[in-house]
Amino acid sequence: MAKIFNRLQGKIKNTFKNFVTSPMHILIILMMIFLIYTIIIPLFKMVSETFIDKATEEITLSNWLYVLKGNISEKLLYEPLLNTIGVGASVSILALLLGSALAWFTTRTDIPFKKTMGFFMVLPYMFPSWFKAFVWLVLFKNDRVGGNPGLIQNLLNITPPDWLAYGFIPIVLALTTHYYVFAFLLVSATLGAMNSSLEEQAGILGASRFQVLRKITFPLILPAILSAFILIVSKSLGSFSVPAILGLPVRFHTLSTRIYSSIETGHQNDGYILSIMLIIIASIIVYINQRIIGRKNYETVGGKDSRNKLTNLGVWRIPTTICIWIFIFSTSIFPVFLLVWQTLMLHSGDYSAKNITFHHWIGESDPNISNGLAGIFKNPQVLSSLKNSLMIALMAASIAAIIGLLIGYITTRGRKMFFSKVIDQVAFMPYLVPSIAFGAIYLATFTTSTFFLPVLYGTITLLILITVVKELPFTTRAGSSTLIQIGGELEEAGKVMGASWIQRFLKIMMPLSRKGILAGFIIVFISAMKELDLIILLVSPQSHTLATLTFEFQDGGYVQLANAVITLIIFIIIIVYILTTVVGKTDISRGIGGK
Amino acid sequence: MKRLLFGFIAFAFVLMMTACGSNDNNSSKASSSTNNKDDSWLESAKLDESESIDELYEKAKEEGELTVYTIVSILPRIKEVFEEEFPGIEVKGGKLSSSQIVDKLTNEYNAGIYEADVMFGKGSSGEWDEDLLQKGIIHEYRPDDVVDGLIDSYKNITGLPVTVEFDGAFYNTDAFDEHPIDNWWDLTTPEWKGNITFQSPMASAGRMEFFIGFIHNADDMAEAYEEKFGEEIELDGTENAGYEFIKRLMENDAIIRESAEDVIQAVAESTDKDNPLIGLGPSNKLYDRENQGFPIALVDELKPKVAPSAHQRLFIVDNAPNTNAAKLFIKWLAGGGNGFEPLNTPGTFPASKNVKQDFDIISHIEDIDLWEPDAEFYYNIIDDFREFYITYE
Repeated sequence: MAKIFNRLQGKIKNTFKNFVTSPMHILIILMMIFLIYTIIIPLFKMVSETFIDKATEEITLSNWLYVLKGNISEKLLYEPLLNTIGVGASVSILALLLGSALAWFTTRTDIPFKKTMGFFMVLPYMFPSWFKAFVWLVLFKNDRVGGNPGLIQNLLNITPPDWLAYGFIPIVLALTTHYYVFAFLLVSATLGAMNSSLEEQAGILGASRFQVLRKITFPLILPAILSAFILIVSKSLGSFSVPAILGLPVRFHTLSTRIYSSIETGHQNDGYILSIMLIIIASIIVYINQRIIGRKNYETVGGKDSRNKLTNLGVWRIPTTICIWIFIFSTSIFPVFLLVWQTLMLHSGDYSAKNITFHHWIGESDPNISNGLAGIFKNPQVLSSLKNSLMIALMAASIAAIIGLLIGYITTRGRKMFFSKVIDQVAFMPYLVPSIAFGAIYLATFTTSTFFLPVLYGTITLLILITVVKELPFTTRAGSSTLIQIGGELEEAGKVMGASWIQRFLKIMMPLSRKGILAGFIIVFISAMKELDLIILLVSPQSHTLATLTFEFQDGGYVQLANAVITLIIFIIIIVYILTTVVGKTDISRGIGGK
Repeated sequence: MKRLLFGFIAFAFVLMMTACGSNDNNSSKASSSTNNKDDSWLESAKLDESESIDELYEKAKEEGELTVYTIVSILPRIKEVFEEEFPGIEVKGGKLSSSQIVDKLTNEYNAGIYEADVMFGKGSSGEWDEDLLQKGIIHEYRPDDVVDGLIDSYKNITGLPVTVEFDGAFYNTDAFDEHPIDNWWDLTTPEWKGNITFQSPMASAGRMEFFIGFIHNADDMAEAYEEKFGEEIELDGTENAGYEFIKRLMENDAIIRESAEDVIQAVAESTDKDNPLIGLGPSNKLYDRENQGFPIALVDELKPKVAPSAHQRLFIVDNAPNTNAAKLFIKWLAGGGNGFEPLNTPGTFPASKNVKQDFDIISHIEDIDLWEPDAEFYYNIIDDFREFYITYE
């Protein structure tokens, strides 16, 4: 008996030992712990808060009933819900069309300056998203809201109708010109890797250009389009500042504007419930999307023979080029120009030459300007915020890139395992929670000790952590799309040679996926530099960032100082972007899961 | 290979252990401070004593810093002036919205994490009094000499008022020589249809209190209505004349904006008398006359009253880690001396008798007929108001 027992014990011991010594298992366990701590617990907390009565602290359904069928449900939930879905669907379709078309023009046709165009087309992603709303109003503002009319009315003497100045259409267009970048990057990456001989063959066989596009090109880029779709739809469902600026004057609300105002007026529960609604919608979309991709197995045809033959646009070459440059000018160049000009104005809104000053950049404190606040390069707070911003963004981007690679490893190598699927899904969830709600729930979660871990509140670690977690979906995609291209053979070869898992990971996987890691890094870096709502509640007095400082200046009416800080942020982002793409030789499209 | 793997596991364990270790420190710190919710801090803080600035400065030097949670945007400048006057004490902290301050302080208090020393701001006055002050999350610090220096009518305000401000009606001085309205009900007439703009009260606690002020003073509003239209007001599905006013204002095609700064900018640009604009916003934006050269002014005479008043108030936070520095800061800022300098701009009025303002525009807050705020009323009506506003928006 004892013998059997001993043997059994030995067997269990062995199984256990085998289990815990398998690198894959260890990795999965570690990642699960990380995700439980950073995502599951906070989300669970958010859901459970909605079932607690604020006053009596008893369990109740009343919060849900209030939102779902209370006096103001129509205005609080249902109308905004419809608007949100409308905006999300329209932006996705338009951004996909625009992004794919631009991608095709800049990779497959004979228009000039394609590389330069490509650079400018990525720029909008580096601007804060409210920027587009601001530019839109500069162009299309009409008499309705008072103040100076926009350029269109000024120059052409046409009054833009209300529907073009505010509400649904401008929100859709402003968001489209921001998020098309996802489609542009993913589709051009796929097109770049695709062999054009397929299209040529079809042409030789007598297919018309349209037929070629529809029957050959489109099916091949479909996975990239679907992938871009997810990113675009999730971002546009949750976007706040553009709908707030362009929607409020005509009383157009989306779920995210309702979430913001609920939390801002101390109605956290309503905000959480609406956030949960948003997560549900987005999850349904993601699910449907995965069913579509999952059924078919797409394999992009690789193997370049010679250089791809470019489509000759003929008489359309020049007009197309001009159109694209007009587009680039209005979405990438003009906004920056306006912004910089703004920072040089002594008095906001006065465009005359005598009003130009460098005070807001390099001026010493002058009691007559900005209440005595010095120009940003003379302001010690700007410099310390710059230090904090860089530190948070660099740390968060590096950590997110590594964790993304590890999760990517799990999802590609352990594709059949149940937990790898769970990890993939869970890592995507923070992306769907609006920043302000995510920040609020982190405040509630991390001011107390969770499990045996220390209270993170008040540390810069928490700021880095929340940034990492919010951007995890990007780096996870970057990680898995990179690793899927690195064959298992290399790793097996390493194994045969006696390299441990750690050695293999550090010596084989990391170097080979360097470009993917860098791409994930830059994507997170860009977001982290701009981030405000996510961290404002968690920022401790020592850790001011450039973005929180912008908020301070903006609200105080020191518009020029605020814009100068934004210019600085954009400048830093562009520098780091150029460094990673030129020196690091990576392609930003990998950062969102492109080839 | 095995060795490396075990190394990896060991590494993970070490990580956990360090986490546990630091956790022990932290939780003991947290729990000890939680237990401290007896009054030992309150006793040692001696909030009822009135030490001199010099005494406080000597003690504050040992603390070396203090942290301020505030809604004002001018903290960077306050910091500069304070640090120049009191070398060796660093001012930390930053701007938050008033509801964020409530959220942050409540969570910190419940967790026993004490980061902040001073709270300074306006808005959410109901929540501050009921949810923070009454629960002991913040405390009043009212040195006698500072209170003596206050203008009499502000002596009873909780906390320590530093400034008096109000949300009022802004107009463009290029379009109008004098104020274009003299009764709030003017804004509900067809003449102003589509020509009123304000920041959403859902985006700012300050705007919310402004609108609640009309409801609080509904009787005055009913009187003013009769004065203007010569007949008693007929309520159209609302509770009182205050609600009715807000409803008609919104139905008069008011334009709602996301930020107060946008409202002021729009007024500044509306120089055309044929297409005028009235913007409702905080009086401290009058500073934009100077700073941005905006041609704007505030209507300073209105029936029934110009506006509800609001106060930037100072509180000391419970278990403030830098008690003396906090007291020094509060005394300095509210005392009406140098501390007021960063705040001394048009539209921000001193609560202290010791400050004399001299601007080319409204200089004496006493000349302006304002409603008194009522934190308790505000606190109890916020949910109703939100429902009402969202319904008619």
